[in-house]
Amino acid sequence: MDILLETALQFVSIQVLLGIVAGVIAGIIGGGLPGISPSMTIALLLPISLYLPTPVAIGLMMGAYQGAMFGGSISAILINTPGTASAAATTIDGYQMALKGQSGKALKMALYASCSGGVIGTIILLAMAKPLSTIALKFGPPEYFGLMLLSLALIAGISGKSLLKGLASACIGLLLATVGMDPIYGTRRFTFRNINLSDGIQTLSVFIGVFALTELLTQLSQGRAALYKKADPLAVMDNKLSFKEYWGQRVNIIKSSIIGALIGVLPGIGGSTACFVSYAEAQRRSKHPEKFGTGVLEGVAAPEAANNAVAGGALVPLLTLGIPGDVVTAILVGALITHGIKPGPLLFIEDIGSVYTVYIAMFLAVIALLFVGQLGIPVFAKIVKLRKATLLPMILIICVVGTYASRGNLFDVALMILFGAVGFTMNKNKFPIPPLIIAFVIGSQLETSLRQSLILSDYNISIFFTRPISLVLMIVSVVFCFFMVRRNRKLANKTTIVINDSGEKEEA
Amino acid sequence: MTRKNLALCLALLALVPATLFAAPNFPVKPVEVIVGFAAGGGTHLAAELLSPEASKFLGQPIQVTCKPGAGGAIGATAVATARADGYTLLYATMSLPISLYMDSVDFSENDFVGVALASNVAPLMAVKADAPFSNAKEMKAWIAANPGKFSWSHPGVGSTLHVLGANMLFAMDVTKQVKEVPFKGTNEGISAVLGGHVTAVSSFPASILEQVRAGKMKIIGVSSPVRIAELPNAPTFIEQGYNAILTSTRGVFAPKKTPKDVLAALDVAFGKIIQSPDFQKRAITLGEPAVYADSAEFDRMYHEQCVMIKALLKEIGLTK
Repeated sequence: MDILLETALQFVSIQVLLGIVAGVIAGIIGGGLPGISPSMTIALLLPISLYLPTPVAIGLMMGAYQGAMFGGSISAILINTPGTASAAATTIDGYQMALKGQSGKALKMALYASCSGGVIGTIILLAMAKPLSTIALKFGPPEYFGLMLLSLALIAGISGKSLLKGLASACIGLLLATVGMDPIYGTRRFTFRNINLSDGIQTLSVFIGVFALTELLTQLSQGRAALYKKADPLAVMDNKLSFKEYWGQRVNIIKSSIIGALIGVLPGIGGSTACFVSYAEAQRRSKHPEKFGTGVLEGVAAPEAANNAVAGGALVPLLTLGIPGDVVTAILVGALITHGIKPGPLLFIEDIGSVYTVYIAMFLAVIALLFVGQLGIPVFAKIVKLRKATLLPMILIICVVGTYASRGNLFDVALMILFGAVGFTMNKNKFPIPPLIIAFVIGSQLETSLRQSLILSDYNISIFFTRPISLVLMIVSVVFCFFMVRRNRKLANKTTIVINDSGEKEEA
Repeated sequence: MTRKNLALCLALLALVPATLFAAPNFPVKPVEVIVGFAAGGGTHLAAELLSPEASKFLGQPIQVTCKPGAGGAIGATAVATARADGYTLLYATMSLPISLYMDSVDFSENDFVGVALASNVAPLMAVKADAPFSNAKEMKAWIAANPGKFSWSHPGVGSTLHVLGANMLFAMDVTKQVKEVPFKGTNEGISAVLGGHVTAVSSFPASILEQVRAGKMKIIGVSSPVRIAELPNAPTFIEQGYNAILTSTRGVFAPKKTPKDVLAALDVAFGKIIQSPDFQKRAITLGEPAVYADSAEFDRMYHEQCVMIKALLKEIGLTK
């Protein structure tokens, strides 16, 4: 207890608090700009942090981590471009809300869900770090495969009206994920001897292409009149988030945060998987699942709570085992080591003070995020008031620069444009985009863990059914799939009515 | 921002002494050092170690740029095709010579000239602490007694740790009896070993030190001519009678056609940076042993390594 108090006192300093706030601001900006991922934001802050006192440096990093997780939702909601991979699920309903003129409401929901997720993630980190890390180690290749299979089963839920078109879209995603180096033999697949494709298609090229560029093309195709129209004044009425609405999301937020934190604990599985899983879970238990995808609060709250909770989860293996849970925490390892903190199994025993430093920094970062976000949202929300003739070219520039920035590679920009065309064509022919994204995101991990498992079992598939965790995941996937398909069928008859009376775009 | 300004101030301050020893017209603008791996990764961090003292000794700041992809080959291609004026350099690992032979790349051995050796790390093979064997000999016997049970992980086909790990197993003559399970990174591999899913992991000391200290993992052998400072109790393979001594070098390269006087200026400047006490101190905190070799020697090492790796890859069956 003494150590906790002592550590806490370190944070009662203007420098540390400034560090956290600076981190949050940097994180929101980095997360909000497509092309600057949370890991890149932290990598950019890393050289600075080496010269700062330890609590300031850790505060800066944690601030940036939490800030970036929320920041990704800003561009997702406002311009249909996930600023970070973790915000891909937020795009689905967030942007639809913005189209209805509820961008302020969506952003507020994202902020409160992010902060709640951050707090819950920290509590889970604080309370259950040790047991969770033991469970994380039980996840070998077969268990990872089971989890990926479950995520793939979720596609049925977000396929929209036509399951068949959803599956087709998912297949495209899976095919795209096979491009690049074979994960086991290292052979180049579908790269056409182009070295830029050897690591596969860059996630960002696909994300920005099928989300942002597709939307740009769709808007352009609506004709000149639409471009010069002033922003819709009619919809501004329902742009405030009431406490009742937030409170209504409490179960959703808590559930999503727990999903986020648990998936975050597993090394190597990114926030985007966690977000899609919690999105699907929110949809599953919703009273009006058919409205998902047309701009509902649940669809924003679930992934945003999850991706901030991932941060707490990802720190679990780092602090207890010395194994970073994701790319961001991998970079944190470097920062911690240069500050003399050695993440590893002995950290809890030898240096509990440092563990508390990380906990407290994370907690304060969430609070800082709440304040900074509050101040920022009215500013960000102004973006949608711009005339489209001004806004769209700006978005195009962000798309191009963002795609280029992530690897400094023009080839990725060309691909992004190609995917814009693909997304546009799919959109016009009413193929849903989210299944493509999920399948593409999990495709490579799905394949890798499948093949790793098979190597270990000498190509005997019984390995997936003889290990308890893996078996449970397999059964859940099948059951989940069955119910999703059944509901989808029921909905297929009902959906037409819903869309007609909501008076939105013809196809949501 | 502040860092940039600081760097700028330092650059201005250092301008006078810098002109005394460097070629008079080089460098007049910041020098870009390209890293072929992701920002924040081990190679990037090691390259960043060079930048704080750059303004002092080079007369201009160093700007480290990450161009990740294809096991470092994308970054290497960028440097190979860049203008050979000394303003674009490459910070590369042993994956540079490996990619020459395991991969179809658009550059060749002679596109690069070594500028300075900045780091030399010994890889090792580690297993879970409760494994039924504790040294290379016991491991070999166990593999023979339990066919199909031994699996090892490395962070991707063609990675330095893949080749070095394969070399260790080749030296033990067990290549045919083991299963190879590539993971996305060393950490995933370590986690799989801790969870009992795979038997061994090919790793660098920094990733494994804490696990060993906590008694969670043990080291079968280190691939190095002599024992390493961080792990004085871990035996090398060579002292156990298996000929695996290959270590992983990292350093700065320039395009081959770089003018002689520019190269000489870079040679002097990087020599001073790498041998400065501040650099050495930072390197050791990061788990990088402090080593140095000048341009001529590093270039010789590089070409030797190319010949050796080409033969090695063929011998251990990674290339035809």
